[in-house]
Amino acid sequence: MIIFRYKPFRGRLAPIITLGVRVGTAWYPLEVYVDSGAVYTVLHARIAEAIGFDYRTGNRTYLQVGDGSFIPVYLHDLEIQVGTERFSAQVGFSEKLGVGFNLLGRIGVFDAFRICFDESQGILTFERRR
Amino acid sequence: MEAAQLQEYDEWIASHLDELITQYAGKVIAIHEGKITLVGDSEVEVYRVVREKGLEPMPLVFRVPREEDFQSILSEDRR
Repeated sequence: MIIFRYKPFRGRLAPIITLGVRVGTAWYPLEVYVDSGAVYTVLHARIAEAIGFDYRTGNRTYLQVGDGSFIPVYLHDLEIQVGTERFSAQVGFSEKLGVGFNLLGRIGVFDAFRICFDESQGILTFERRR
Repeated sequence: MEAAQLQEYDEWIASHLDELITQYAGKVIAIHEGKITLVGDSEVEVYRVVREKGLEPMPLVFRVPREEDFQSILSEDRR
């Protein structure tokens, strides 16, 4: 079981966690907002640009966002590390992500882990499905 | 990467997020060995310095959210 604390800000709590993403041979620690409403994990394209990853080579798809519009997302199979657990998931990159956070979405993640949002305890738990 | 390193970064953010928002909202910071080592305006700028300095282990590069970022994602009407 991997346990994260919700991140406190201005008297509120947010399910933000630190995970690792492998791009090429390097691992990058990143902050992501765990979002059960997001289909895919989506990272800001500016991160890919900064580390020299040509994200536009991925399969392009379009995801609907909160205001009803669609944003282009380029999908790649990448390795992710949550705590001690490593797994592969489709990770999208988008220049149009309208929120300030990277998002950890369902595909490849919520099917690999039982994820419990325990707001009353201020913790988020990831339990690997076997 | 080392799970302990990820946990260290996660705990650091949990302990400092409020003050980061106060001081660095909208900026990109690099956290390394328990402190903020770089502050910039873009990920490109910060990762470039990370590479130039050869920082190991890889710092946590983090764009500090603005308060409105939380409001947008925590909105109840996300459809």
